[in-house]
Amino acid sequence: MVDVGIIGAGQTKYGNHLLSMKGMWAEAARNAFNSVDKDFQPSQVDESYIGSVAFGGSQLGNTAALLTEHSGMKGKPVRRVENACASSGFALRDAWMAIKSGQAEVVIAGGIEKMNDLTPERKRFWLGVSGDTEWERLAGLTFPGTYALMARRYFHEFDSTHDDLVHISVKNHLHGFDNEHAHIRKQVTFDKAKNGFMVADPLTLYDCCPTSDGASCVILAADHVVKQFTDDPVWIKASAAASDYLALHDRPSITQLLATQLAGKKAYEMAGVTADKVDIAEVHDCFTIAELFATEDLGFVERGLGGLFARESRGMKNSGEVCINPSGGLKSKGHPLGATGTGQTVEIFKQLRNEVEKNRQVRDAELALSHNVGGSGATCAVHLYGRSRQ
Amino acid sequence: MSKVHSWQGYLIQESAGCYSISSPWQLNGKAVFGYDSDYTTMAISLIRYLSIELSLPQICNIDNQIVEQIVYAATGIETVNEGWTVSCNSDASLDLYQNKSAPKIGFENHMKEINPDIHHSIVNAWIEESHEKNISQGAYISQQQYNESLASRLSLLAQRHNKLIWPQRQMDVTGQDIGESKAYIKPFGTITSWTKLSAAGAPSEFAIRAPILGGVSTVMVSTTDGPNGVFLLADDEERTPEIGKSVELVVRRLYAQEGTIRYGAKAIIR
Repeated sequence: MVDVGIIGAGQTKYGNHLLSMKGMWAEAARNAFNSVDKDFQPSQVDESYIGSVAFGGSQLGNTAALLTEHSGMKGKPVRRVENACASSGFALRDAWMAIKSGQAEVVIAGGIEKMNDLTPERKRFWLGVSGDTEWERLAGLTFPGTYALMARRYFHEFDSTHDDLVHISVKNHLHGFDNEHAHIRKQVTFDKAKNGFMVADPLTLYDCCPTSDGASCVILAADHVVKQFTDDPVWIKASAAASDYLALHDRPSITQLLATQLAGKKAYEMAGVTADKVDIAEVHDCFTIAELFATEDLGFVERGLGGLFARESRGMKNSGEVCINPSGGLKSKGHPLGATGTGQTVEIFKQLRNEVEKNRQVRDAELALSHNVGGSGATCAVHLYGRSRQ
Repeated sequence: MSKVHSWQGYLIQESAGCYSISSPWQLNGKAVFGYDSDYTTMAISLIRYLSIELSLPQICNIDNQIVEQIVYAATGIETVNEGWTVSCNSDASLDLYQNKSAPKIGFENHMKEINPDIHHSIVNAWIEESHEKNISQGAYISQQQYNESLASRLSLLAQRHNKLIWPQRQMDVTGQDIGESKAYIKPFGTITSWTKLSAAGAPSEFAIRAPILGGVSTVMVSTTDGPNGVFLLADDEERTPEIGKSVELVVRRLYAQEGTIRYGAKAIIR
C-alpha cells in the first residue's frame, strides 16, 4: 500500500489575531506552500480537509470552501472536519486515508479557529458546546470543571498531588518560551504556577491552556510523487483514532482516557514500534492533568506513575527519555481548537527536519508522535512520524 | 405540635394532620427562599417526605405559584377530586393538608439569618435570568430536549437492562435496544470527585448568579444503585464537599432560560 509523506507544513503564530479567518488561513497555507523544498502549486492539491469547530463570529457553514478558494484551490473537493479540539487531528487522518485509498496524491490537512473575536458570554457558549451538554453543562461544568474532576479523582487514587501538575506547567512554559509561534512566551516559576488564580479547584490558571486564534496547514503526498516536492519528507508511519463515551459519568474510570489508549495502541502496532522508541511527543495538554494522563495512556510511563514522571521532569527537552511538548504544548503554544492537531504536526515536521529555533531543537530525534484529543476524551487521534520511510 | 425535622435542606413539621415545610433561612423575622429554592422545590420535597412517612398523598389542589408539571414529573403524583391541598404561605413556606382549618405552624426558633446583601442580589439575579429576553448563550438545551429528559432529571427514572442505567439511553454498548424497562435509582450516593468553578469558568447559564455566589460547585456522585452522575451542589455556601462524603439528590432550580425556570437534581451533603 502507498506510503504517505509530509512535504510541507506551516502555521500562523497562535494568540490574539487581528487577522480574520481568511487572513489567518492564507498565512498558514502560504507558510506551508513556501516550506515545500521544490516547486509546488496549490492547484496540484487533489483534496482538502480543514478541521474547525467554527467557534468565531464569521463563517460557520462551508468553511473549507471559503478558505481553500482564498488560497488557490478553487474547484477542488474540500470539507470541514469537526471533532471538537481533535478536529484537525482527524482531518489529518482523513487526508492520510485519502492518499492510502489511492484516490488522491496530494492532500491538504489543516485547521483553523478564531476564538477571540467574541464577547465573553459567546466565548463561553462555544467553549461549552463539545462537552456533554445535557447533563454536564447543566451541572455547571465547562472543560476546566470536567478536567478538575478528573484531576481530583487522580490525586485520590494515586500517589500524586497538584504539585505534579505544576511541574508540567513549568516545563511547557519553558519549552514554549523560544517558540516564535507560541501564544504565551513566558517562563513561570514553580511558586507562581502553584499559586495561580483558581479556575476550577484544584486547577489554577497555570493548569489551563489559553484560548487562541490560529491556523495550521500540512501538505501530504503519496510516496510516488513525494520526490517531485522534496528529498527530505517526514513520513507518517501510523494514523490511528478512537472514541469513548462523551459524558464522564458513563465512563468506568475518569483517571484515564480510553480513546487515547486505544488510538495509541493501534498506532504503535501499525508502525511496529513501542512507546520507548518515541523521541518527541506533542500531546494534548489542554489542561496539565491531560498531559499527565497522556504520558500514562500512551505508554511512556506505567499507570499511576504519571505524577512521578512529571515530578522528575522526564519529559523535559534533551534531558529525558522522551521530549513531551517541545513546542510548549497547548499550555504555552496555545490552543486554537480546530488548528491544534495539525499544528502539532507542523511542530513535528520542523523538529524532525531540524528546522525549529536553535534553542528548541530536540537532538537526534527520529520518531515522533502527535496526540490530539476532542473534548474530555470522547475522540482522539494519534499519529506517528519518522525520518525514515521504513 | 410535633418536633421540627431537617429534611432535604428544609424544615418540616406536622400538627393535627397539617404538614408544613419552610426554608431554613430568614430575613427580618420572615422565612425567605435559599439561593436555588422556591415553592415548587419545597412542594416536591414535602410530598416526598409524606410518601416515605405515610404513602404517596392524593393531591386535589396545588397552589398556582407551584409549577405542577415539575411536581408531577418529580413525584409521580396525579391530581384527584378529593385529597390533600398544597397551599403556599406569604413567606417561604407552604402547607399540605386535608382540612382547611389546619393550624398555622411556626419555625422561628429553627431558622438561620441569611446574608441580606447576597439574598437581594440572588433574588434580583433570578428575576433577570428568568426574563423572556434573557436568551441563553450557554450550552443550549431546547425545551423539547429538556422535557424529554425531565423524568430522568427530576425523579431519577432509569432503565433496568442487566444493570441499572441512568440517565436513560437508547442502546447499550453492544447496540442492543434498551427499551422501556423502567426503574428508579435511589437518591443517595457518595462523592467520587468534586470541583468549584470560578465565576469566570462557569457556563454562561450561570453567568448572572455565579459571581454573586463566588462560583459554582459540582460533584460527581456514585449512586448507591450503581450509576454515576454529575450534579450541582445544593446549598453549597454551607458545606465543603469531600470525596467519600454521602449526598442526597434533591430537586432544586438549575437555571432559567427563555422565561422558564429549569429544575433538576442537585446533591446535598448529608
